[in-house]
Amino acid sequence: MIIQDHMDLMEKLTILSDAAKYDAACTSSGVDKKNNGAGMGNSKACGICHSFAADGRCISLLKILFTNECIFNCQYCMNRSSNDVVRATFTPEEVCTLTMEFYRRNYIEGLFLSSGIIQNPDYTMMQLAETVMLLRTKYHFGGYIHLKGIPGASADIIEAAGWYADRMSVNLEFPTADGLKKLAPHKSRTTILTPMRQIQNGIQQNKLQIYHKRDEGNHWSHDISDAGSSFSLHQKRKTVIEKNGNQSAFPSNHHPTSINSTVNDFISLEDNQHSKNALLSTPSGSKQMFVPAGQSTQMIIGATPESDYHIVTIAEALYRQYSLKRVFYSAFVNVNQDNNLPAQPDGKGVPLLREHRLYQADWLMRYYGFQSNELLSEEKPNFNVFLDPKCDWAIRHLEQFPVEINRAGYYTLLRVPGIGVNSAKRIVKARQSAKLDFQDIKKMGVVLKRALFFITCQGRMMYNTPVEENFITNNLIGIDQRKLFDIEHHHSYQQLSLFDDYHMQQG
Amino acid sequence: MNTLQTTHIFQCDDTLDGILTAVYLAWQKGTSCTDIRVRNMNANFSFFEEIHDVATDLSLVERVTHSIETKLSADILFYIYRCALSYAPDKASVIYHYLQKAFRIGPSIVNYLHDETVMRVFELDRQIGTEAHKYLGFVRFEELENGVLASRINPKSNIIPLIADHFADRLHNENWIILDTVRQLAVVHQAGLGYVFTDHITEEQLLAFSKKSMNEESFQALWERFFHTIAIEPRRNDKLQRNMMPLRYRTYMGPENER
Ligand code: SF4
Repeated sequence: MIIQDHMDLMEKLTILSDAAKYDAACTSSGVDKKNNGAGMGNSKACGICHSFAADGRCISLLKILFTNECIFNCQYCMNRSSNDVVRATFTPEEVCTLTMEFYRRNYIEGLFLSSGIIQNPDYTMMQLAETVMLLRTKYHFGGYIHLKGIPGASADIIEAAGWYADRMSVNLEFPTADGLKKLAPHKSRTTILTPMRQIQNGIQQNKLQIYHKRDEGNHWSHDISDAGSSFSLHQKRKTVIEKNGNQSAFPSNHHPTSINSTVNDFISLEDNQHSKNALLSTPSGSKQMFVPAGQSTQMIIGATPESDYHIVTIAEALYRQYSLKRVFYSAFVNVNQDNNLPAQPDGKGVPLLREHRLYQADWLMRYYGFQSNELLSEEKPNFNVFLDPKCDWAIRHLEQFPVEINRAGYYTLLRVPGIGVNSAKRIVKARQSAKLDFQDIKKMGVVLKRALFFITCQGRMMYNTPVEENFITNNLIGIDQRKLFDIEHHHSYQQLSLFDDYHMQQG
Repeated sequence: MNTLQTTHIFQCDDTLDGILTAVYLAWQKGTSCTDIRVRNMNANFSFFEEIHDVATDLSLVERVTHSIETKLSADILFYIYRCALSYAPDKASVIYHYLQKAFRIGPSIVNYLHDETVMRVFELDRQIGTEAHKYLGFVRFEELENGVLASRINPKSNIIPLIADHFADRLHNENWIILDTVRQLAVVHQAGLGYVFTDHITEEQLLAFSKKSMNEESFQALWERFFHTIAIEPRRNDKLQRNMMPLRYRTYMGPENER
């Protein structure tokens, strides 16, 4: 290891932000938090982007590692112990200074602090906990903090940190025990899932505490908002949740498949005594709220051979069984040019399109009431490259179309390609006072060039197009791309770099 | 109807109060032959117009807002307030026609999205909302020697009134100023107290106010480094970056503005 003793802040920032840049994060916290009057900062439920990097990604947090002096040797990571890279470690005070000064200048919304494992998991977690405690108690920082939970760290240190962070996340990394063993030999499903369960229980227990305090007539100014919570109301209604909380039954139409049982074996965890009594004490000077913006996790996509179906099934199970707010995906980039891992001659990593499709599916599951097994199946385990998951679903369910804009229910409208949450809401409102036509709904944000195949307005289709699979498919993907579409059905996602600049666009 | 009938144009200040005064006066004259317009905003005059210059009159404003609040809703008043901040040249006329329809239909007017005027108000509101939201992130403060945090922006619409609360809450214990260099309008916040809006402040005045603080350069340099390091270079995507952060927002940003 190359460790330099006298390194200035600029060098450390360079190394430790470079090392953190593949982490996915987002501040749409779902929590509105006012300034408490004493310090600096607040946080917004809607998420604010402070800049956009040259790759087009939103910059909202100071995203850094605390250290890259890591004793673990994860194959996919440039900071693994066997690599010869320059190492650096911040002090807690340095992280505080950068956060405060960046925040004052409105460069950032808050801090995203992750870390390599220095000395051992407990020592590392302690450094992280100390940093966030300093930020909150000494610097009175009121902005957003996303803190990584270190796999294998003791429960009491994780808890101590959780009182000062808004969000915590423990990276799942890979969706199978085998993937972990091969690529992250020092991590295991138990060291990852245990803190995840502990944080989940802590959040639940804390909500109850707050609820009771309210009952006693205490003035509690914070509102725990469930906005942006992991599943839509629709989904909640559909999901039967057993009384004791953690384990939820799959809906009855969810036939167990072999993927489902693999997934369940992997992520279910026996509760031990430790994690059940998650919260020991509320430290003074903290916000008295434990991880109020909830928990998320991250998976690396494309380093291991799992199908999209496998991945969305894992994500769905994580949302249910660990009450996660978000599952993030990080398209694998072979930074080490390692032979054990998929080769990437162009240096670009897994096509962003795949990551993009997974996020679209995630969106459909969280806000549109879709279930993983509606989008994919064991027979059709990967997303269509040329059609977004919603178009793809609609084309496979043409018997449900066309739907009449002036009559169809809200959730039916949501399933129409080209109609999003906002436009569906507007339609439902506007049609109370008038019969809507194509031009009306276009102004309301409906993307007609996609929707027109699936809808009628006052009984008429826009162009009398046939509700027929080949016709619609051809039109939606464009004649030119059709050839590639055929190729795709025999090959994999790899040849799709031409779609790299395709970006988020929710229909 | 006589197509050569003269339209009476009530020309007003570029403020909500100005627009509402004009709404009152035009209404009095009769809605069929009147329209309103912000002074100096769009100048396609026609022969068949008679211009009336309107001096803002708060007692009239009071009457109009009172009827909006009682007969329509407080939300609609806020909606109109936001539209009045827009840069769109037709905003005064749109507000006028919107109110005419609203008083006919009632508070449910907000759902009449198939109506052209209602849709236009909706668009103006969305435009200004988007711009204000972008600036919550894109405002950049520099620390001056006297500890004041100073920022300049050049928004299309007059969004300063919409972002002031956010920063007053966030930077509660700081002295700060945000100057709209297009309108020479500033919001000035005093630590722990609150803020006021001040107009006729030029960019030169702000720059002459105080030197940058000793540490300012080094924090700008640290930010610049972070901004460059955090990008995944092989995935460079200038087009996406420009879509998300159009160049016009970057005038006073640091590394984002280098090109
Ligand atoms: S624990 Fe693994 S992924 Fe994290 S820094 Fe160390 S080697 Fe990299």
